[in-house]
Order: sequence, then C-alpha cells, then structure tokens
Amino acid sequence: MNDEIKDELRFHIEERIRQLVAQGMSPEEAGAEARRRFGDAERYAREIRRIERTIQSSSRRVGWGDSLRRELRHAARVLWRTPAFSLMAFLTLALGLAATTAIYTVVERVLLRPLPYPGPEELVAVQHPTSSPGTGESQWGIASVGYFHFRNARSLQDLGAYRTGSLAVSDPGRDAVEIRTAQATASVFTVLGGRAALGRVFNTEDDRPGLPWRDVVISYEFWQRYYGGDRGVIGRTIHTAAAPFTIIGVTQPGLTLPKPGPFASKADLAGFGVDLWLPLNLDPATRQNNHALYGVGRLTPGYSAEDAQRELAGMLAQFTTVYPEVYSQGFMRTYNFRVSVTPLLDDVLGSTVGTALWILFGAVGLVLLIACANVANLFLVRMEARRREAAIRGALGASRGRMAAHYLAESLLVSLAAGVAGVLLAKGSIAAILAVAPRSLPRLAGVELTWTAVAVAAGLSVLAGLAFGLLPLLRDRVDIETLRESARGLTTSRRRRFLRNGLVVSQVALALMLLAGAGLMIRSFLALHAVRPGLDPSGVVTLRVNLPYRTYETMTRAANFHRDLAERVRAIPGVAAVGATALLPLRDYGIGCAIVFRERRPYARGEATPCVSTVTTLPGFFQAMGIPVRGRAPEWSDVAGKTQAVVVTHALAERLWPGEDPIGKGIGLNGPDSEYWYRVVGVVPELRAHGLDQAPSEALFLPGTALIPGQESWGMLNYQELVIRVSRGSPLEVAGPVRDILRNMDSSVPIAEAVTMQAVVERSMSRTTFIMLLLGLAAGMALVLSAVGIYAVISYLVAQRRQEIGMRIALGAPVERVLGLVLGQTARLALAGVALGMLGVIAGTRLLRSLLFGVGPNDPLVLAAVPVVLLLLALLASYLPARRAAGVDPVEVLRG
Amino acid sequence: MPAPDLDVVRGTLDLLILKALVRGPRHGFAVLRWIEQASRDRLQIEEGALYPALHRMEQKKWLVAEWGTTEDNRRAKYYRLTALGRRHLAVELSRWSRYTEAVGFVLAAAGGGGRP
Repeated sequence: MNDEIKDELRFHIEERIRQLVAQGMSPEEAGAEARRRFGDAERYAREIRRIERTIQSSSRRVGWGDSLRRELRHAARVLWRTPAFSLMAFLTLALGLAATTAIYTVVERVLLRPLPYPGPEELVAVQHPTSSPGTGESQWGIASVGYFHFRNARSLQDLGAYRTGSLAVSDPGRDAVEIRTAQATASVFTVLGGRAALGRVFNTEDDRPGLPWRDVVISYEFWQRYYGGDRGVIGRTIHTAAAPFTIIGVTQPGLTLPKPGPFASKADLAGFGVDLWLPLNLDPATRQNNHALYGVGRLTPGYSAEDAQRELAGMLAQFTTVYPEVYSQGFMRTYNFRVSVTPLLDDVLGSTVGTALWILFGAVGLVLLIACANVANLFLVRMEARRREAAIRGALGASRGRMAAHYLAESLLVSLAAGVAGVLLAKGSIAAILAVAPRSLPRLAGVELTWTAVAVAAGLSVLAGLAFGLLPLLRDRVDIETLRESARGLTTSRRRRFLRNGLVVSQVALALMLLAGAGLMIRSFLALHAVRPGLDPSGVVTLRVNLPYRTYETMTRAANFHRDLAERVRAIPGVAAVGATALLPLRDYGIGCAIVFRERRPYARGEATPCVSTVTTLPGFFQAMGIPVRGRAPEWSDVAGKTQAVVVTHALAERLWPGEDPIGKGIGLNGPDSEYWYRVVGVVPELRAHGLDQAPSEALFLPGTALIPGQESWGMLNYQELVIRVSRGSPLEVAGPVRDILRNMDSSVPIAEAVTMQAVVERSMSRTTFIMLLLGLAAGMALVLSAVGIYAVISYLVAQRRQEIGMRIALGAPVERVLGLVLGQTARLALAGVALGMLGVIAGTRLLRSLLFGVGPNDPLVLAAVPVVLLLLALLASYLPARRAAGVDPVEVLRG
Repeated sequence: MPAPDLDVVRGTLDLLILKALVRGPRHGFAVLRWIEQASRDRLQIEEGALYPALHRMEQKKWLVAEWGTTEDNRRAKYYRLTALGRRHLAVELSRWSRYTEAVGFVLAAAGGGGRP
C-alpha cells in the first residue's frame, strides 16, 4: 500500500520534471522546482495513508497489490501496447525452445537414458570382430564353445547367449500369427535381471543340453495380447509351427532384449520385444564354428569392460590349442578373429547413431542461440528507446532494484509464454520427428515429452528471461546525462554498438555453419538418390510367407506350395510377375555370409576367400523385382529338375573369374574338394542390395532345391518374401487377394504384413533423409531468424542516423550513395560473420564425415555457395531499411 | 505565463476535480494540468494537496482509482468518476452557480459601502 502512494506521488513529480525539462530547464532546476510546487510530499503521503486506513477498515479491501502481481500486470499491458515487438520476441523464442526441447527429448531417450535393466552400467556385449580382405570388418556373434569358455572369466559375473527368430503359431480355432521368439540360455535372465510375473522363468535345469523342446516362457505383453491376461495360462499348450509347447511362466512387463540376435534383419534393430522364450540347451560337447549367438554379460564389480576385454582376449589366444578342430590357426589368421567386450549401451547404439543425434542436438542448440541473440537484440533496441524514461526514474531515486523488477517482469513474461508455447509445439514436433525417423534408430519407440524435457524448457526460458531483463541494467549506468541528450541526437556508445554488432555477426556465423551442414546432407541425399540400386522398386509389394516346419519339412514340399501359390497370385488381375526370395534387397543383406568356392580352381594360399550373401530365391524373383539378368534366370523346371542353376552378381563373378565369362562355371559351398557344384546360368550386372551407399553386392542366388542329397530339410524355403509386381494400380491393393489365397491354401500360415519395395528402398536411406530434414529445418530457421535480426538492427541504425542521412541528402548525396552507405554497413557485419562462420565450418563439418555419402566434409560447392547465400540474405534483409534511409526527407529532418 | 495569483477557495477543490474527470479517467497530474489550463494558469494549488483530496473522494465513492499505463508505457494511477460522483457534481454545480450569483448580487448592490 505504502509503495503505491509513493508511486503515485512520484509519478506526479516525474511528469512535472519532464514538462519543465521539455520547456528548457536543466534537470537539476526542474527537480527542485517540481518539488517546490508539490509541497511536503511526506506530509501528504501521511495524510493519504490515514484516509486509506479508514477505507480499508470500512470496506475491508484486501491489498491484492503485492508487487509481483502488480509488475506482471503492468508488464502485460506494456507488451500488449507493442504487439510487433512482443510477437516477434515470443515467436522467435518459442520456435527456438520447441526445436531444442523436441530434439533434447529424442536425445535423452535414445542416448542418455540407461538401458531398462538393473545395474545397466555393468552390462556388456561380447562379440567377435572379424575382418578379411574380401569382406571388410564385420561383427560376429559368439559360438557355444566361446560361451562355455568365457563364462569362467573372473571379470564377468555371468554370461548369457541368445538368438532371435520368428515362429508361426496356429492354435485351434484362431487365425495363425507370426510371433517373435528368443532362444536364450537361463543365464540371460540372471544377467538382465529378468523375473517372472507369473509362474517362473528358465533355470539351469531347463537349460540342460539334450532336453527336448517343451517348456516355454511367454512375455507379459504377449500374455496380455494373445491370452487377454488369463491367469490360468500356466500349463497351457501353445501350438507353434516347430512343436506344441507348454507355458511355464510369464515374464515381468517390459522385459525386452537389448538387441536382436546377430542374424536378424535390419528392420528389427529398433529393439526386440520377445513374445516367446525358448531354452537354448547349449551342449558343451558340441564343437561348432557357428557364431550365431549374441553374448550379453554382467561385469564383476570392480572390473571394467576393458579389463574383461583383456581377460577374454587372453582366453581366446588359447582357443587354437584347446579347440584346434574348431579354431585352426588358419581360420584365426584368415578372419583376423578377435573378441570384443563393449558396454552394452554403446553396442546397442552403434557407431553412427550417437554422432548423428549429438550433431542434431548441437544444431538446434545453435538455433536456440540465434533465437536468443535475436531476442536480446530486440530488447536492447527497446531499452535504447526507453533510456530517457529510465534516466528520469533513476534521477528521482527509483532504485535500481525497482527498475530491474520492472524490466524483469516484462522479459520473464515473454520468455515464460514462449516456454509454454515451445513445450506445446515440441509435443507436436516429436510426433513429426518420429514420422521421419529411421526405423533402425534404436530405443525410439514410445518417445514422448518427459518432465525432464519440460523442466529443461522451463529452465531455459527463465534463464533467457533473466538475461534479457538484466541486460539493460548491466549494460549501462543510467544517469542524469541521458536527460541532457536531445531526443534526436542520441549517440550510441562504442560498447553498446559493439554488443549489438557482435550479436549480428555471431548470428550470421552460426547460421552459416548450420547451412553448410544442411548443404552437405542435401548433397549426400541427392548422391544417394542418384545411385541406381539395380532393381526397380515401383509397383512391387512383398509379403512374408512363413511356412510351418512341421507341415513343410522338405524343400520339395515348400517349393510345391510356392509354385502353387505363384500360379494363383499371377491369376489376380493386374499382377505382372511373382517370385520369392529369402532376403529382401536393401533390408536383409549383410547379416551373415557364406564362403563360396569355385570348381576346379581352389584358392591360392593368401588369397582372400570370399564370404558372400547367399540368397535362396524362387523362380520369377528377378522379373518381379525388376533385376535384369544376363543369360537366363532359373525356371520352375530348374527347381523340379534339380538342375542346380544359379545366378551370380557381376561383382562376385569378377572376384572369382576376373575377365572371364562366368556363365557355365561351377560354384559351391562345400569346400574346394566337393563333388557338388552349382552351375552359373545368369549374371546380374549390378545390384546394390547391401545399401545404396555400399559397393555393388557380391551375391549368389541359389535355387529352391537342395544341392546335396539328404540336405532336403534345410528349411531354406520356410521363410520367403513373396515378391509381386503389378502392372497397374497400387501394389498394396493385391495384398488382400493374396492373403485370401494364402488362407485358402493353408490356414496355419500366418497372415503377413505387406510392404512395398518402394518403402524398403526409402527406409534404407532414412538415416540420411532424417538428418537432412532436421538439419535443413534447423538451417532454415537459422536463416529466417538471422534475417529478422539483421533487419531489426539495420532498421534501428537507420533510424538513429536519420539526421545525418538527411544532411547528406541535403548536401546532394545521390540515392545510390545513401543505399550504399546502409548496405555497406550490413555487408561489413555480414562479412565478419561469414569469415567467423567459415572457420567454424572448416572445424565442424569433419564431425559429419561418417554421415556423409558421395561428398567430402569440405565440399567446395557447399563452401562456395553457403557464404554467398548468407551475404545475399543479409543484403536482402537490409534492403528495406536502406530504401527507408534513401527516402528520408531532408527538409523534415533538418527542421524537426 | 501569467503568475498564478488566486488560491483555490477551500471546498472548491473537490468541485474542480470532479469537473476535470467529466471527460473520462485521468491521473492526478493530468487533473492538475487540466485545471491549470482551464483556468488560464490563474489558479494556484499546492500540487500535493490534490492527492489527499482525490483519496478522500475515492473514500466517498465519488471516484474509483485504478492503476493503468500512460501512452509512453509508464504506470500511473487513474481516477474515474462514478455515477455517484456525477450526481454529486451536478448538485455542487447548481449550488455553486446559485452561490456565485448570490455573492454577485450582494457585491453589485448599489448604496453599499464606498463607491467602486
């Protein structure tokens, strides 16, 4: 209350002083005169207080005017009066905060959040890195030999091993479904800390070697989905394509595997939710060089991953003497066979995910900086305009604290409003990010705005508010001198000009860096799109056909089913071609390889033995996928007649028979001395099935028949992707009729999801697309914000120099000179920013290297184009203010 | 600027304030400036005295006060006439004109004191 009375009286005196100063009195005289005319302010204040007290006691008016609320109300009114300023500051900050919050949420979820297991920092992945001259570096899983051997390591509390797959389930009276399975050692549960919600999980008894498959554990999610959470599920039988199983337990909710097994499709990398757990029943007596298990271990307290790595490497060195029949010296040398122990989170994330996300996070951080620089500039210019007011209030003894409170209220109001809008906007942005994010980005499922992210946004906005609010007070001491300056003759101090110009320069520099990054990603994206995959994805749809082993136990049976299926599908109107393949190009290639041999020409010592993708395909595949074949593609008559006709890619032919025609050559998988050889009948000129950014694939396309008598039950045809090419309409339209055909042929075959080949191709580029889109968005925002910033500052400078410009025009300076004056000033600022930014670009784009394709980090085109874009933008942004300067009426200015 | 030479007669300050607020809400200084200008700068008020008067009139519910913002974005306390204040002004105005008329008659009456 007291303060309000003082405020009211002080306002009066202030107004009087202004009026007197305006009439030409000096501030000191004006102050004295105003006080004289007012009389004894103290006495009046006391008198009013007495009156107020009677009002309060009579009407019980509560003193709601606590100063915070009063200042906020006042600030809101002031901001409402200057909508252009308020809106600009609000939008700029809100956009910056939204982008930062959204990307922070994703980064937090994917990179920072620990894995969902107890003691996650103790978990490690145990794998075998290998390399050979032909295949390059690749990560193999562990084998049963290694599993039993490494379990004794002192640095590991325990080691688990698993592989993942899928199975068809067809219980009587229900539609067949495909479910995700994990075959795991009992130790996987102890290592990951997985417990049962109902019944029990596996123990070492279940895991004994030689036990027939019988007892299984189902996941909580599958229990809910498939059994509706029925508690009587324990002891029930589930009819799978492999065997009928008995359910002994339900796992706790949310128990997933950190990663699919070593040979899983790339489509599964996003994390692996298991439906059905099977025991692995590894046998220590089985000595096989089969590296198909993912090893996950828990470190003994006190040991680091490096310690374990050293210990396991020591153990591996003994393999050639302990298990010479499996690990020969030659094998170790040929494959440069090593063991690696990596923190589990690092392995789950892989090498490029972290880089990509940190870069994006850095990018939005820069956008936020630019936004802040912009708002800071807006506030600076505004304060400039209010210096006289501040000076008068200061002269009248308004405390610095009081003035600070006033400015703070204004800036906090803007910042907090922007914070709220930013969080709301971020919520929407996350959905948009998820829509374009690559499927292979791990741990992204179910990302949503968290309280941490909201807290970060709130913290940032409060911080911004405080900074902007205190800016004018820190910046210059408000003193009585300000009052002497006439309204027109405001000169800007060197320090202030430096600060403002500095903000513009750094904005330009930051925007330049973002633009360069986005430019490089766009170039990569274009380069990737220019790559010819060697197949024609348009009009192609694929469906997984999962044939239960029990019914289709031989290749012949499965092949007959497919032949029948292909005939029926081809009868659907609009279908041009039908085929099938075990691996989809650009999705499944590169998960394992087999060593191939050539007939009558064994490899020389030291020559690289090629380990290549071997793909079982069924007739019609090449035509349906739009892959040209020189020579011929296998027919159904080849399958039926077991002619062993195969197709190779040109890249593989060149490795095996450089410079020769491969057609007619013999190729096999059973060692150099085998008597069974496939016959090459066709060559695929070029196919980039491993990825558009990879070298042409070396691949061998096997027919749907067995090579060796007695190997009929390989099961190679039980998982095939049906490939259908349509001649008209959307390829997805045939999915319905195809499913009907499948259901009619065998209702125990699960109903599969249809995926267009176009989607597969696009998804294979999704990492590049994702980074390009987000970096592009960040760069776009940076450009707009910088343009606004430059415009604001140059406008202000022009307003400041009106008088000088008017004088120049009066003295006969032509319009071009005036335009040049303003544009020149902009150009100087922009050039400084560009120079600074280029240094940042040269230092920074190296970080992008691992994400680029077909373009170097210092691409001359990008390095040349980016500065030009920014300079043009700066000049464009200052053109309007420059026109305004040229249009100054000298008469008006000089008279004014 | 002519020197202010007339002290405001006691009791008439309220009337002047009410009159100043007829055209809409004003803050104290604006009320004062209006009185100064309307009186051609002839009425002299000790400026501080305005405020106890304003607050007293607020207490009588002739006025309501409200914090607002000036055109150059400064905080000021604005006073607005209530319906009660308007009625009071009308009453006071007629009383004032009757009073001045009466005083005028008296002073103009012939045969009073000395010759003018």
